[in-house]
This record gives sequence, C-alpha cells and structure tokens, in this order.
Amino acid sequence: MPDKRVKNIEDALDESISRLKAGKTIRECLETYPEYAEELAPLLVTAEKLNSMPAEMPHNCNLAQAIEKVRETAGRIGTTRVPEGHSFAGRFFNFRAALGLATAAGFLLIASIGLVSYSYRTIPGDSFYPVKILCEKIDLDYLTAENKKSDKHIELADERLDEVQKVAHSRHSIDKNALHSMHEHTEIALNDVEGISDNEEIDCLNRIQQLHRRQIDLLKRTRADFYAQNADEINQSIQLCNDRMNWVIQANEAVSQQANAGIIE
Amino acid sequence: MDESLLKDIIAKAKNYDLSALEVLCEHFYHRIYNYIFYKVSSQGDAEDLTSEVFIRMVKNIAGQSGSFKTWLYKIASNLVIDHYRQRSSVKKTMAQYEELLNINSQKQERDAMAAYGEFGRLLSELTPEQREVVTLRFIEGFSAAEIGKITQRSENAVKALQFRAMTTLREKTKGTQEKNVRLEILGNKGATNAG
Repeated sequence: MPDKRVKNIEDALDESISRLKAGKTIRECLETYPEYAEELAPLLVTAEKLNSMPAEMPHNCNLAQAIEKVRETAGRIGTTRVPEGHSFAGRFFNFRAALGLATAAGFLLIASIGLVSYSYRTIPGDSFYPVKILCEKIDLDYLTAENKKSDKHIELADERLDEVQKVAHSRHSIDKNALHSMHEHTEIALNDVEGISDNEEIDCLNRIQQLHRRQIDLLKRTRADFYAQNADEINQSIQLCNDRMNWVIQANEAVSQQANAGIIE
Repeated sequence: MDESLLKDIIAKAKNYDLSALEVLCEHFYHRIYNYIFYKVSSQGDAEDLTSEVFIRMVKNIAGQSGSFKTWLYKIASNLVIDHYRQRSSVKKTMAQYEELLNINSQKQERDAMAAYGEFGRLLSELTPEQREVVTLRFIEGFSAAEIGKITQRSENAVKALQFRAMTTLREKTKGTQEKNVRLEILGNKGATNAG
C-alpha cells in the first residue's frame, strides 16, 4: 500500500528502494506510484543494479592490527574476560584475584576477632573501650533473646562494677560514667523482671539481690581506699544500692508468698 | 550474525568483556572499513581510521544506547569529518607544493575506487556526500532516517542526496549501456560483412 505521506519523487524513490530490497519487482513499485512511473523507472533499474552488484571486500585491511589495538585499549580501561574460553593465564589471574580477596577477608576477620577480644579487657579511658561498649550494645540489641535481656543487664552491671574497681586501683579515681552505667543496667534489669513468669522472676530477683550485695560490698571497700576524694559519689551509690536491695527483698518475699499460695490452692 | 546473539555480545562488551569486544571488532571491521574507504579513497587512511573507530568504540561502549550499528557508523562518520578537517588545514600550508607537484587527487581517487570493482567505479562518479548515502543505503542497508542520524542530516536531505545520486548514476550507466548496445550492433554488422 502506498504511504499517504509520500509527497514527492524523492520520497517515492526512497520507498521504492526499500520495497526492492524487500523483494518486490520494479513493476510493483511503479504501480504504487503511477504519477512518478516515467521518472522512477530508470532510477529503479539503476537501484536494482546497485543492489545486485557485490561490493568487493578490501584485500589488505589489517583486522589483526585493529584487534590488537582494541585489546590494548581494553587493557588500559581494565577489562575482564568471561569464564568461557579463558586462557590459562586469564584463569590464573582470576584465581589470584580470588585468592587475594579471600586472604584480605581472612585478615579482616582475624583482625576483627582480635580487636573485639582485646577490647573486652579494656577499662574506661582506654583507646578501644568504645569498641567494647559497641559490641555489648550489638550483643544486647540483636543477639540476646527477649527473656534473657534481664540476665544480660545484670551481667553488664557486674562488668561496670568491675571496671569501677579496676579504674579505682589503676588510676586512683572513680569513673562516674561506669558507675552511672552500672545503676542504669541494674534498673533496666529490675524493670525487665515484670514481664517474665513467677519462677523466673524469683530467680532473677535473687540474682539482682546478690548483685546489690556485691555492689555494696565492693563500693564500701573502694570508699575505704579513696574516702577523702570521692566520698559523696560512692556514698550516694551505696545508698541507692541499699534502697534497691530492700525493695528487691520485699518484692521477692511477695512473689514467693503468691507462688506458695498458688501451690496450696 | 543473529540479532539476539549480537545483542548478547553487545551487552557483554558493555561490561568490558574482552572476548565480546573482539567479536564486535571482527564482525564490523570490514563494513566500517568499506564505509570509510568509500569516503576517503585511501587504503592507508581507511585502515588507520577504522582502527581508531574501534578504539573509540571500546572507550565509549559503556555509555552506548540505541542502535549499536548506527552508533558505530556515527563514530566512523565523525572520524572521517575530523580527518578531512585535519587534512584541509594541512592542505592550506601545502597548497603551493601540491601545485608544483601537479597532484591530480581526483584521478587518484578514481583509480583507487576502480580497484574495488564496478561498484567502486560507479561510486567514484558521485560527490562524497552522495557516495556516503549510497554506500550506507545499498551496502549497509540503512534506512534514510538512520543515515540521517549517522551523517547528521535531516531525513529529507538524505532522500534528496539519494535522488541526485541515483540520477547521476543513471546518466553514467545509460551512456555505458548505449555504448555496449552500439558495439553489439557493430559486431553483428562485421560478422555479416565477413559472412
């Protein structure tokens, strides 16, 4: 079908050439454009001649040289070969790259484990102490089950108490942040107790009671060593631990009574 | 080469896969060479420019979009334009020497084209612009719109060039055909007289 947009002989010739290439005859093309038939006919004969004329390939064109240049350019850009049809050299370099990556990953893993292990022995003021705090936070937030979080906070409160003692011995001062963090973990552990079953609650309250006893005991010893400098802070901490321990004892008794009443019933 | 296979190879080449780049070079080398040769009429220049086309292909393939073939020919077309610009600036300074040496570049061009068969001889009768359009249309099978993209002309301008080229070729072949017919008649007369 003739194209409606065909307006002049140039368009007609172009479309007729396309039709000739698609296998139509000159007669069919001319029938489509009868108004241009007389002018188009000799041009289409020439077009058909061009279509049937093989264009000879160059004899001395240097394909090998061109491929070599492509390789060089690609090499500069940094290409990689696909696994199929690889040369031994290619596979070797890929193996080397993989080995290099694996070695780097191994070193990174060992370094990370070493750093974390070392950081667990640090105390406030050490360079890697923030790493220890970060690891504890990750452990608490992502690796500890919900019903074990109370235990974890007791453990961390104990750790902070140890740190307060170590800092007191090594640097002859009380680390306020560690002390504050100890109270914070203790309080969170107490709050978490409310959400667990009665038997677990009694166990947990017992552990918190023991924690408070250790806190009071160690803080009293520390107060004896550094009485002149940090009396107020240590006294306040001991008072807070005493108050909490009394509350825990009362709560423990109440829970025990309820549990016993339940068994009798 | 199958179109889907070619697409796969182009996709791999865009990720700088060396094997795919080599296959593309092998597949298009002769066509690009021919296209450039018909424009520059010098084997040496055509070889250098063709190599340069593939170097540019490797450098820019990552950002290529649309028809790959049209894109590659456009690189070739631009390189030939640059080549002519460079040559014309050199020519300005060399003009006097050329006059002295009496270099007939047109004759050389025709001789070079004739070495490429009847198609080449016919093309040597056209202007460079017409020759480019005819080569792309009849050898490479591009449409007028695609040729417009490659040569940075409008589709109508391409059709007009094509029309003028076909008219010129018609005139040239018409003369040859008539000559052949006359020779045939003379041959027949000679044979009759001899008989």
